[in-house]
Amino acid sequence: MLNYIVRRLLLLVPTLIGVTMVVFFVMANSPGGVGGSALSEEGDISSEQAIIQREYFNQRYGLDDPQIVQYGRWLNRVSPVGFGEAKKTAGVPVGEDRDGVPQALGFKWPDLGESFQHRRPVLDLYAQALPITLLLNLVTLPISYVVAILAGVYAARHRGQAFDVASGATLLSLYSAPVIWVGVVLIGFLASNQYLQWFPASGLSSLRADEYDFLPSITADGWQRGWLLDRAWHLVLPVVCMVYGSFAVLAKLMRASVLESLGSDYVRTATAKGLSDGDVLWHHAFRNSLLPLITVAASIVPSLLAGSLVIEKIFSVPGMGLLTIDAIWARDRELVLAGALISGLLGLLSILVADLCYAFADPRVSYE
Amino acid sequence: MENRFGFRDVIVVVLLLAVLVMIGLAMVQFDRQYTVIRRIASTLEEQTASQARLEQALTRLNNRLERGEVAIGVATPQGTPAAPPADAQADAFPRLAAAVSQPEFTRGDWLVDAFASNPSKLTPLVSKDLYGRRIQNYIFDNLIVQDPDTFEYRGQLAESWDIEPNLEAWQAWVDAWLAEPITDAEIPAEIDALGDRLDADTVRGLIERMRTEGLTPAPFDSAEAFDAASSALNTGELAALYGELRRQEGRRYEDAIRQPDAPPAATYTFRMRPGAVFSDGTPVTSEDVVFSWDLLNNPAVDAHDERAFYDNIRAWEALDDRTVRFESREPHYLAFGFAGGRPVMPKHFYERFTPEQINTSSSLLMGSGPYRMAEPDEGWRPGTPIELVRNDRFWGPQPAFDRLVWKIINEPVARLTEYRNGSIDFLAAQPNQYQEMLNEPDLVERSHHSAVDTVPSGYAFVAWNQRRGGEPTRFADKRVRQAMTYLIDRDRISEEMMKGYARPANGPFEPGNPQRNPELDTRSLDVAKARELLAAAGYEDRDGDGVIEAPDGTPFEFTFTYPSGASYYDDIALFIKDTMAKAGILVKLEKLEWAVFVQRLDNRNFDAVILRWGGGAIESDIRQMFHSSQIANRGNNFNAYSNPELDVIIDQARKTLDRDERMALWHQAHAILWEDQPYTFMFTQKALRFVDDRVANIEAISSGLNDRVEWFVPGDAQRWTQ
Repeated sequence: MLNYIVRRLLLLVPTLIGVTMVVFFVMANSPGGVGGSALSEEGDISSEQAIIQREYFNQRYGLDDPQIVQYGRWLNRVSPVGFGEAKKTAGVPVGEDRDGVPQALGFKWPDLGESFQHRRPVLDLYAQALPITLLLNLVTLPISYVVAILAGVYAARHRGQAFDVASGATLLSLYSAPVIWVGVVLIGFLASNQYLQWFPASGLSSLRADEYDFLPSITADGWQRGWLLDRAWHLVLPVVCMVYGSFAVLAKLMRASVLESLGSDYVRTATAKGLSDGDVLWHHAFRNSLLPLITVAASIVPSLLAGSLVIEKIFSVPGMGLLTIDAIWARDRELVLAGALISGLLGLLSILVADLCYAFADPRVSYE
Repeated sequence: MENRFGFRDVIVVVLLLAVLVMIGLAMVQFDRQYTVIRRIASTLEEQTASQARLEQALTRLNNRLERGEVAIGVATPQGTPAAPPADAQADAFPRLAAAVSQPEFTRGDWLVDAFASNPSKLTPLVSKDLYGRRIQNYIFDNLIVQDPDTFEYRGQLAESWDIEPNLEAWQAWVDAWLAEPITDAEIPAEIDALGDRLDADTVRGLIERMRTEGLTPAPFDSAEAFDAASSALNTGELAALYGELRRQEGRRYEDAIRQPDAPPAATYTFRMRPGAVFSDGTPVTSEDVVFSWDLLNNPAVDAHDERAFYDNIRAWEALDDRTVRFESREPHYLAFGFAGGRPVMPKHFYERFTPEQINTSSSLLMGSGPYRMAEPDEGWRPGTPIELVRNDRFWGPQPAFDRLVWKIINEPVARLTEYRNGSIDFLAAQPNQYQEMLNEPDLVERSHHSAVDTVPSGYAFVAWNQRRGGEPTRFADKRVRQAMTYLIDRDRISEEMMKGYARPANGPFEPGNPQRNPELDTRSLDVAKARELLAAAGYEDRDGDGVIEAPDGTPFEFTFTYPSGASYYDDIALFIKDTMAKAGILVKLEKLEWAVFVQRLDNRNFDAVILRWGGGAIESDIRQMFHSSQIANRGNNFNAYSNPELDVIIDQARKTLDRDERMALWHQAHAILWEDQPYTFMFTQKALRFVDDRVANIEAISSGLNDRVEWFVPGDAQRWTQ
């Protein structure tokens, strides 16, 4: 087993190099070029500054070097083993670079670089956007799983009856409603004083949330909802938008898998033993039907990091989706590459974990 | 089989999860407290420093009293902040002082606005977007500012100034330097400095440059002839050729003004007001001015473009505590504004940070302006609303709002909803949206709405490329360009697409701008006249197919390129295609993503493009777009327009410091542009604004709406109370 894990971990490296290489060269050769539009906003072009900025980019990021050299440099920077400033690298000294700074070959901290567009370290930008996306996804996922599982099980149990047909049709129609339209409609009806002003239209906190207590409280001025409830209140509309489309696939998957279990021999045996319907369903069929959902769950770990561009834009929530798409428009190489690297790494790791889980779950699978 | 995972396990897992969530929430709460503690600590620090200054001043005063000196009528001791007298305040901030003196003026309430996208940093010098600059306006003061209504310069931190032109001596020196032949030592030095960058492109650029300056470079009489031969040349031969060409070209003006011994074109001396203080109570001195300029010109600070913009100011020094002197490199009408118009940054605050820290910071903001960040050292995290609080130590009249807040709302519908709900007080609308809002009576009733002309406003234009792939295009003929302008119905575009909130432009200067030549009219749609001009240029329908052809039979066809993003570009592009067809011209439309679009502009690889220039300085310098020197090296004259007569006028206008003389020159330049039509100037847009009705003292002035520091909310209407 250990052998297998080590082998898989070592295989990660060439796969990741492949992934980032494709992203790198596609970006470098795309029309517009790297850093091409880090110039201005909304159709205005700013004076001679564009030229100066381009020269600065060339000099600072070596954009006029051959592409393979640029890629090599990037790879060296993000790799934990490689060449680096002697002060920050634990290894053997290997001379000096062009500016006379001593260099060394050895272990160092990976450096994701600095975004062209924001001129801030990529790590800072992630530190700012990631918690927001994680929060949204962590609230969304349990809701969509619980609702989908219950709906799927119930529909399977009452196959062909009104609930099955109605839930199937409803969930599919929800799945077909475009988020961009639903989001705007929700804002228009549920957040506007023309109709029902139940929820805020944008952002993650009220303006005065900084001054609120943490928990809801009653003060001299009356009821105050507190920071926590305020945040939850702001999350309602975005979470609704994220959740409604995801029910259909999971519920259908669950329904099919429960039906399969209900039709199998051991369930018939259990029923024949005289167990109640509930016992058969929840103790025998249900657990075995969860396997396909667990497989699907393995693939959601990397998607936890991916934000939803549309929802972030509509509700003005600055998460990963906006960050990534802006980076692609602006040909912000460091940011896009860092995204590819991180999601690639997480994706590969979760596939590995899923493979290992099969071995634990199913005694027939062995990696020896 | 035994149940391995039972009810008890479920409870344990749920409890574990609950504990994890609790820990997470507790961390969030600690974080919130930490922010408050940091804010309190920074206030305490400021108060301690301020108290120390007071104690020192008291001690000094005490000593003098003990020595028997009379303290009455003696000037304030050094270092003691004392608010300037009311008349000095009114002199520095006349518009604000006038607002404060209104009878119904009340302090209090917040003004909430929304930004459409997320600024990534607000620190001066390193912030690159418009948003950063708008925030900085409220936090920093300059030595001088341009009055938003009269456009005259007036002192803010400066109480008076001296301008000493040195034009004759400067000109004589430059002439003498240019007259001398280039020495053998200078050429190798230049080639060395070029280093790796000396390639065929550099030499080609040099040949083009010499040709625009009227020199015929031997041995190649054109860039094309050089192109044919250049592939055969090795690096050594290129260097030799470069040296030869440079010898022919002689010395350059750009090098002349960079000679260290060149005399300054002018010196500007500013005398600063006493009593101005930064938001932590430290007095503003000439040292801070010098520090601000040092920081701007520190190569380690990521302010390359801004630094290049202020390149004309070559030296700055503090003569004493309250006097600063600047030297300009070459005569330029904006040099005075450049020298005095930069925000003054407190040395004691910014010197605590290394250039690297400044580059990667998101909000290091401390100044002497009417508003401040509650915590100047990284008090704002990108992605959260921006909140400025009133600077209680402000040395001018205290403005009305307790806070100025900018939320970040990306989606136009959400912005409108928030305005409707009263969660934001200010909305900058697009023409369609503005029109729709006017149809809602309750919205109109509770708002000030205005459609005002602004200076500078910028303008939209169609640029006709006169040179593509080294060949002159059909747009090189000015009759063709004039015909194009006659064919584009800008009145209809302004009326229908821009809903009447735009007006056709006839040049780069917007209405209300004194640079605009009042005698020029604006060409209206005139298909007959366009046909006539095209026929005169040789384009006629020779085969009766409805499409006009050149004498050699090629049909008149061009590609209209426009950037994606702004939806009205689509409408205009289709409209132009349609209207051109009426005159027998075929138009292909090409919509490009911004990065690709910019690349095509840089490579001059287009027939016609539509774009918009944003408003820059109030008195704009058109050299960047229309001077022929800006054709080479990816300059902004991307349509290769060249008129030697205009070049001379632009150069002359830039050097002319007398306002009236200069305006006469701009008028001439405007007339030439009107005749030549290098662009079809499309339209200037009005600023469309909705402001919540409770806000008073909103006024339309020459530059648009008056600044929000002059606004206030009368007592009983206030919404956000502390």
